[in-house]
Amino acid sequence: MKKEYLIKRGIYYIIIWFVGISIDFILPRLIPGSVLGTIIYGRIGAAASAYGNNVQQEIEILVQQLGLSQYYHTPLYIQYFDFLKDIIQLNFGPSLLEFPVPVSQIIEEAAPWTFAIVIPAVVGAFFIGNILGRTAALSRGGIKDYLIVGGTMFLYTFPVFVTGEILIEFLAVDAHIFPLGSQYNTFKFIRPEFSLPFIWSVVYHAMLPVITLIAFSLAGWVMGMRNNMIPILQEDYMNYYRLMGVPEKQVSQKAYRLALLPNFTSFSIALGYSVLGAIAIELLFNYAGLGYFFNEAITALDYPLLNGIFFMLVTAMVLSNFVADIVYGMIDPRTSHEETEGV
Amino acid sequence: MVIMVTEPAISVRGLRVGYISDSGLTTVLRNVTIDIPSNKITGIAGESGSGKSTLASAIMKFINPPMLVESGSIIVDGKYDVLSMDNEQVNEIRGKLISFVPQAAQNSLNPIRKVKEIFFDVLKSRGMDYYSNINVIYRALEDVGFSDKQVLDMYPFQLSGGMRQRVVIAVSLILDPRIVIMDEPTTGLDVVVQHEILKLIKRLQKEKSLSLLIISHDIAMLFQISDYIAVMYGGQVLEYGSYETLLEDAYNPYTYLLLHSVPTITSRGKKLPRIPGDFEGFGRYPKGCVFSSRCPFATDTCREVPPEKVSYDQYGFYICSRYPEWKKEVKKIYE
Repeated sequence: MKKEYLIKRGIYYIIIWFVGISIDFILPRLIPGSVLGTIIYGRIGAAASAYGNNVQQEIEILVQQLGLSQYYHTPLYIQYFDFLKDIIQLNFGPSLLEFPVPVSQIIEEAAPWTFAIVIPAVVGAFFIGNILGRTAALSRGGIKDYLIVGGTMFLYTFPVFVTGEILIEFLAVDAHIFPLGSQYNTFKFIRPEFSLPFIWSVVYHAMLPVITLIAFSLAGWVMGMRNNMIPILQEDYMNYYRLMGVPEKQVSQKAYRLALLPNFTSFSIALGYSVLGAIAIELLFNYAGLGYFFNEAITALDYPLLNGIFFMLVTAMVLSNFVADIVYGMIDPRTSHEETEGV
Repeated sequence: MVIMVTEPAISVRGLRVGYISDSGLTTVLRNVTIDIPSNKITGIAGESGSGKSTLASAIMKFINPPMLVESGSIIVDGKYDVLSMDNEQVNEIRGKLISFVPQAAQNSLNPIRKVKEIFFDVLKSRGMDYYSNINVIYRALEDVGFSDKQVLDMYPFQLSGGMRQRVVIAVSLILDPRIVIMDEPTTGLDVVVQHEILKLIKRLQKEKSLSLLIISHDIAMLFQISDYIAVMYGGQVLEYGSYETLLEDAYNPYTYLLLHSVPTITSRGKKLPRIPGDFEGFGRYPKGCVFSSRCPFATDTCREVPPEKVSYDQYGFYICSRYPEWKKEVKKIYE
């Protein structure tokens, strides 16, 4: 039964993933304008009129150079199948922006940096937010409740780039506590290496982006936990514990565990989202992660890179939802046990 | 005849309980004084909003805002003045001396805990270990009619209504309490299961010589099972006594009307007496007798002057200023 549930969910998510990947194929092709045109225009610029009839020839040359000839002359549905075949092999082709570096290599290099700030931020916000939310729920209507809810909502009203800007201004520019940006000290280290000073440098540079992300996302967890927990504290089954003489502290622990369940789902989904959730932060801190390259790819109409990052996003979202389902099934028996005997 | 005077299990004196709302304090229980006998089944009957659940909450000292105890005292087991005890002391006797069985229809069991984990939680709160008390739990399950132990590994949502009610009874009795309050133990169950649960309750009461207090709106069920019955209306106990007394010779017209409004096989085709109108509500509380506005026997005196309480034995009493005159008018009004 447990296995059946997993298989059922698995098939469901494979279909979702497939749909997402198909959209990944269609969407860039729906963007008006031509990438080749843009590149050619960039190359020949003002001299375009002099080329005149040679534009078609130029396009052919470019198509050859980019290794796109098999795409350029085939109908859309064949392109689609080729696309699927390539994607399974994780072959997205070369990036147009950084030609001829393959997209997969850019992603490989950028993804760890994104994870380096996003995972600590999501995990940190999850823990701090839930504990604050619990404190708020337990002192509902009290001073702690107002301070926690008010404070986190206040932080939430600022977009991340504003919070980030303020933090950079005070903590980096004025107080010199934190560095201004980038992933590590580029003056000291030419390329990433495996050493303690380097790891420390990475941690040190990640701190401010992580703090900014946490400050922004705290309110969601706090409100989620608080609003889940308050009604649970008054549920009949919690009252039953109290009526059996279970001390309030143990009762609120059980309520906390129950209230945590919906937040677990949000947690996995937040991890999936955050692959791109950090675009603003990565730009602000000049942090070369996926979000940073995503922005570059859109600006430069770098379809292969867009495809690649979009693929990462779809996969991360589907995976995180699947994991959320499994985890939820493990911690909440009600979802995985489908057979129930009625009254 | 020698009257055996026994110590009551629960003794409620002059209890006034209200609820705070935006419009001020609404008093619900008005001067409730009642003794619940030991080793007997006592039923509290009343329609919704008559204050019976409020009374049960007060006895368990389960008093949360907006509920407020204005005055009165509750003595449990002759020595525990629950209303003056602090939470820690109350937790000490809850479940152990006085236990509570909530409604089956409602969700009284933690939905993400297996039945054994619910036992575990309750035992752990007393510093007791689940595994060393496993035989006690098996016994408790056997007592409520579970012959196999499979139920321990099940979640509440996998149980039927009747099973859930039996599990709740088993959990409530696990610490071996002497006094048990049951809130609507049969509501939401079908008739066959109701019957089983009632048989079970009766058997457990006898075997463990429990003092049982059963709260229900189902007066027919209460008369089936109870030794003593209290009839509540508008936050007051209108009548209290042994079930034979109430059944044969009700002192208060409300009891009489309630009992005669239950359809039976012999009443088929006949017109049943009905109680006209609705309870005014606690906001516009009647000046005189609380039932006067709906009572077919009420006089102007009833409406103006609150009736005196008349006690006729250690437990039994009634509130009615027109007894026994109203008895003679019954025929006149309903035939």
